[in-house]
Amino acid sequence: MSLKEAHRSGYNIMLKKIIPNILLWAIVTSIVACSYAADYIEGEMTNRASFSISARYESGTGVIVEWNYDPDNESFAGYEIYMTEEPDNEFADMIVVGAGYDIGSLYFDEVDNLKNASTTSFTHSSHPSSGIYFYRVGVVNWKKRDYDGDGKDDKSPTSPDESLYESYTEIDAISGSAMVEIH
Amino acid sequence: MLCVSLFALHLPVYAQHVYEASTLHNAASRSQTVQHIFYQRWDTIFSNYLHFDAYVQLNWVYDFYINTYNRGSGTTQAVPMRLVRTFSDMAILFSVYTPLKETPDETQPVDITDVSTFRKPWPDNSILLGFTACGYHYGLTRSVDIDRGSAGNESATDYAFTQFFDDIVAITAVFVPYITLHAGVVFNQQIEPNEDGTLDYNFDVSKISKRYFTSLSIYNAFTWRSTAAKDRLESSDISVNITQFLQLWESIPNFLPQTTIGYKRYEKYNDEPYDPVWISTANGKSNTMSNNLKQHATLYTYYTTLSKKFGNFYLATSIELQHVDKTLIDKRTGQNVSLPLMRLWWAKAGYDLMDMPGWDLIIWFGVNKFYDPAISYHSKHSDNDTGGWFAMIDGSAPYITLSIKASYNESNELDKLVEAVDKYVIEGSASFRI
Repeated sequence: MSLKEAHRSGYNIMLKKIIPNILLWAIVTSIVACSYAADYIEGEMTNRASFSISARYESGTGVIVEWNYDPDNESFAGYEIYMTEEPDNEFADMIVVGAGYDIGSLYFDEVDNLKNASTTSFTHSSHPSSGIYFYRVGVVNWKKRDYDGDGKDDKSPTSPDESLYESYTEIDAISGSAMVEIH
Repeated sequence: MLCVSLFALHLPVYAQHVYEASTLHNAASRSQTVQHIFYQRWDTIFSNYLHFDAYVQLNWVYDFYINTYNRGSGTTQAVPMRLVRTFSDMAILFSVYTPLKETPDETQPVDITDVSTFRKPWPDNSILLGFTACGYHYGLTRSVDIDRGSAGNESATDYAFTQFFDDIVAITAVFVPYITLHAGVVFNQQIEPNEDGTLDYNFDVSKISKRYFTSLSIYNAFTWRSTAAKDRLESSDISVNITQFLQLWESIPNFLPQTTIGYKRYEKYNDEPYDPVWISTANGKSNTMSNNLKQHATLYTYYTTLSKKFGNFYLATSIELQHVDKTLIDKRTGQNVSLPLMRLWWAKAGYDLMDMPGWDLIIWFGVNKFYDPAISYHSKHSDNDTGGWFAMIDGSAPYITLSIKASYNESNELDKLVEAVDKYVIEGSASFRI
């Protein structure tokens, strides 16, 4: 092979690699790069509010919280409802006021439906008598661990109970806050 | 929508330490930051002969107290928030043309698919092509503690105030070892979060501003970099790597440090609401003045950087001198601002705990001094300079790198965002590379 032919061959090899490389870069970067990507990672690490909910007060019924979320069914442990612990303070810490298991105390309602992934609303009956409060919905997942003792990690226990729920669940996603005036 | 004053200095109770992170609105400054990291990544790619680099950096600045409207109480109060800055980058570099080596045993083209050729210098006269997509997100977040009763405690975060997204798309061409060229576009975008703390990522072309940047390096010794907005050259930077330059003719004695000198011009002050100074005069100027009345002042800086490795020890230092082409007037006092000659200096030392090719675990510590006329705006400092430090653990293996860094008033951080003064900064980064 002459030097000229070798050069031409080299060019052909390189040219064949240019287009796949550009396409690969374009596909991958369009998926994972740019400013949103690292922000998404940070948001996952810090439980960033990622979906919106609505909440309203109906006299005689209570506070009705509604959402629309599609959880990971294999790890899903339940929805939890949170409310600001002080009236008239948007920036107060939050307490759990609704869950599928009996984990709360003040203003708490245990509602079995919250264990179902398809549930999209909650009525808070044991609410405070008056004041402006803010609500959020948490999507709670089981932690990955060996629940059945077979030496392999499981996404969820086969027989979930309150004790397991208290020990091995974590918030997977959380909503933004919705304001409600109770009177 | 929640609102805060641009400069809450006017609020008597929290004067000088409650404010909005307003310099974030300075898209020109943010463009400098994202480009700075872009060039850092390409320095890494070239110095390690990489073909692929994916990099993520998470940076948190604590203790921002922001005047925020409380929808529950109907009042405005100082709320602690955290500034989150996240960066991600993906770049590829591949050979378009590799010359044949005319030796009897090497008559075939270099096969770039051969993994064993990775991490070796590209032969002279090779032509390389690279592509980069990278982006920086900046924004304040508020943390809320959640009591899950007997299931424990967790926390969540909300977006607060404007979120900024700056992205770069760039192309790189290299003619080894003569020319390295970068050209790209910086897209500056800002998104208002929803009232409930969530954010809808939307790509609204009407709200995106663009900047164009180029970089030309000859023999890796002379480098020229510039950034242009739509109607003017915003910044330019010329530097000479003295060591590289001298090596074009003769070998350099081992005891000499790597030395770079440079000059940079940057339209830093522009009569914007977030600037701490007015240009030329304060008469007739306000934070609501129209753009065509705004004046621009250019900051000129002259810098030199020295670095040297002694066995497992690394030492580096830098100084930067400054002058500005117009009179600056302090917005608070109406007095002329006299910039000191020295804008910053820093020195750092590192020690590599591993002595293996391709593997490093370096502990770094550095100190610095930094001047900016906005420092007293955003802190309790009575003057505009401050000292700082950083500590870092920087690990690298052939295919991954990990780094953790803590800093306080580090010049590099203050140069990016002067509001970070008197705040601790924590940063983590990781990369995957081939």
